[in-house]
Amino acid sequence: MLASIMMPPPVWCIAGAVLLTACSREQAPLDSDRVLTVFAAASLVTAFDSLGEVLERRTPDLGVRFNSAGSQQLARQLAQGAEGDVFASPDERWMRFAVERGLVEEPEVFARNRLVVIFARRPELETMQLVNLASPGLKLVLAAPEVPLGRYARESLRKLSAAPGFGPDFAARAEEGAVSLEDNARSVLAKVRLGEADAGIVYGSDVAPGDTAVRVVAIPDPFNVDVEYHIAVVKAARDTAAARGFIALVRGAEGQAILERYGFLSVPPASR
Amino acid sequence: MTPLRIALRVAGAVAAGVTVALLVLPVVALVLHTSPGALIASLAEERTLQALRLSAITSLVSLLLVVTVGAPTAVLLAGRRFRGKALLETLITLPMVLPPTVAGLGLLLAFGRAGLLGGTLSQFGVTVPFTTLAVIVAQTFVALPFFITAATSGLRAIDLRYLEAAATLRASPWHRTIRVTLPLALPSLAAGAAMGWARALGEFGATITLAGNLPGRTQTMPLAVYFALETDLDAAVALAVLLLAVSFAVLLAVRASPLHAGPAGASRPRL
Amino acid sequence: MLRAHVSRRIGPLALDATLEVERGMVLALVGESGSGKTTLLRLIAGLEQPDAGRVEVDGEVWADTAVGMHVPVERRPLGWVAQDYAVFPHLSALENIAFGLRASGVAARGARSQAAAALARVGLGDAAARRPAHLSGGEQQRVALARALVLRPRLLLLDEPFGALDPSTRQAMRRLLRALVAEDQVTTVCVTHSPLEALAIGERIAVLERGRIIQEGTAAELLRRPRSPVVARFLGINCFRGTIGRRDGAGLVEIRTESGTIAAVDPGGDAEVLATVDPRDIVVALDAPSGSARNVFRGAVAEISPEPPAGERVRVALDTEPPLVAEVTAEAVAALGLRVGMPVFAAFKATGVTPYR
Repeated sequence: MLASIMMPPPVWCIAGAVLLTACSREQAPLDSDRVLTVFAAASLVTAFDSLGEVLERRTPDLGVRFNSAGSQQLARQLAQGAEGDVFASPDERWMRFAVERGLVEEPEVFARNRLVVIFARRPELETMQLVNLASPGLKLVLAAPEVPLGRYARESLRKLSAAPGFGPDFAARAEEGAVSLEDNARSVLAKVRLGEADAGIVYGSDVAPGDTAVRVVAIPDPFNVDVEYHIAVVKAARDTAAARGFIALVRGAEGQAILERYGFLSVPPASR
Repeated sequence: MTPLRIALRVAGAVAAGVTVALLVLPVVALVLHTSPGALIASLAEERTLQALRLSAITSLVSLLLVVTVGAPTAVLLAGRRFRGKALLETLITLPMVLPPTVAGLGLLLAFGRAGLLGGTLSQFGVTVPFTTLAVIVAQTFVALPFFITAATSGLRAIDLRYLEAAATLRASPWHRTIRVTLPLALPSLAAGAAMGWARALGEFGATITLAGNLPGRTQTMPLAVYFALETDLDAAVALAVLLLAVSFAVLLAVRASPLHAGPAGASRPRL
Repeated sequence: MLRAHVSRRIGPLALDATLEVERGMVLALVGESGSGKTTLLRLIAGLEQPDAGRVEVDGEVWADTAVGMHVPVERRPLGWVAQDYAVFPHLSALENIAFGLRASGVAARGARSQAAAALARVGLGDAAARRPAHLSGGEQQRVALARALVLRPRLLLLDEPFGALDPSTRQAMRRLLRALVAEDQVTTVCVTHSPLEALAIGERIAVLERGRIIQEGTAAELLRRPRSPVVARFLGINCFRGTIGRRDGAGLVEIRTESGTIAAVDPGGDAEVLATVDPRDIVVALDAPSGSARNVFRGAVAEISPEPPAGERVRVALDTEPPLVAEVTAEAVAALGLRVGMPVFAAFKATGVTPYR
């Protein structure tokens, strides 16, 4: 009973095959001398996979492995002594948790993200806009307030309440109409793609560029939330050099280009 | 006692000890992590009460459905051979090996608005996802195989000679089922129902996939614990312990009741 | 009255039997294991279906394959008592007996009082509330009997009812059964493997061998003229099947059997004959007897078994050719010092053996 609660957050894909291929990665070759273990939040997995491959090509004797889960679980695992070298997360609370417990060195920002609204491709939804998120009867799926995406989405909705034409109770009405509070972005995305939910709010990076299963509506900057991703070296890392190498790659030009390809927003060079 | 007997006894005790340690330690760890004060504080919260109430109601409704649908099915499976029986039995037990999340996905694709039965269901004004009904559907789906397996095995164990004797005593098939089969199978049925209920109560993966998570409507206790874990470990443990306490009390009551003792009530022979 | 003819193939066994039992009579159905006794009983009861046949009780047809008729068991006014009692473990003795009454629609109170009377009739009046787990084997059997009889069946079928009981209990149960059946005048068929029981209970005996009834009649008829060595063996008498051999011209003839030759009264003709020798007519001696007996055989003692109830009479099986079973007194056994393996002489008069067909 409790075992099912401690399950990793469900990773969402339509077909089982997609589930297996998109969310896993070949393990580092067993004959590498060095292994780098990166603890990364779920939303970073696909982008980090590519970054890992780049690093492996550059340093042939290094294998890169990823441990992906919710930020909360990753932080707790590190606190329990799990072996990780790098920690990356969009959730500043759990990064702070890690810092306060002396688990990581000073974190740095390496990417940003924004929120987008997605609508299911049902005929009656094709003309809907942001203001319709508060329409009665609209099946809106949000992330739970306990996870960062949920908090950010609510923040954005509140900002929109101040927009002309939305009404001061816009956020309240929209949240009232939420039919589910999912535990991660993938679930939100999946339910909208399946057509079971009408609309959802996810990170920009969650929507693949050519995805026709959803219709994306951008949230204008003034009403959007700037999500910052932090990355830090784990103090107990076995291979600190490799950890720093990975972080350097991520924050360097090549890494930033890759992140942009996956829908993230790069960080200006000055702050890197 | 011969040395072999002693050795077997010791081996048995050791195995039992390991089993208890493995199964009980995590529970003990949870209980030790919380305090009566924390439990009371948790109970005072609206979220907790909502989750408890929802879990209680949905699991009981699911149990009712499971027994209503499962008992006749078990009677059928325990009876005469018929074409496709082995296939039917296998299909019924299949959900037990499905990871609950996969089960939930299947349920969504079948009963969702955009699913196989979506159109038909909406014609009757019924939507399943994101409703309390979805919670019941998910729980029933996972609990049914457990109950049916236990019930079928209990029914099969009934000596046919009792049923023959009943027939010679003018009992119609219905009378035989009600007055002989069911009373003799009652301990197995009760055990199966308890297992099914426990499974329904602890359901998580299929529930969150099909029903989603909304306090008051679809957030059962297991979901509440999971989400509390995101922000407050202590609150999550308190909820978990509350859930454990309720389950423990009910399961113990069933085991200790005369329902479970069996018709003769006689003690088993020592082998 | 029971009129039944059923046939059924069960694996290698082809069961094909006809039974007719007068109303109120008790028929003992005997035979070796595997002969089909239990199946025959179950076919009459309707617990199994015959390949072909007809069962009629008191003029009512219970089954007739010719017209595709098969009255389900629960609608037949029969009584059934099995070897393992099948007393319902979840009901008390009284409730067990009331079961059939309730199933027939009798109201609870009436059922209970009838059941109580039936319980008293089998001597278990004070055991009404006891569950089978707290009843002895004999007591459970009584409950099973009362349970069946309280429904006033037209036909009572018993399948080795006392097989699992100890000898003294068995005796008591036999007496009880005879008394109850006589009182109720219910047509009864009782399967048993014990010759003593068949002789004690059955007014008539039917012997089943390999699926067929080879002989049916009163005990006296069977004892006097068993139709086959199987029947004879069952009844504990010597019986041989053989062909007519040399005649001595003085009224005696040799009967050649598979396992030896005996001298008997000449029955005339040349056909195959049967000949019986009563065990009590056989004299066992340590030395060759010098009397007028024409049949003298030599062989070792194969088995010595005291006869119930008290063993005053002893059956002595001999490895002669043909094999013989003699019945002597316990004193004789002691006087002769008979032991298994001992070589002895067995003798009986030819004039005492009358072959028949």
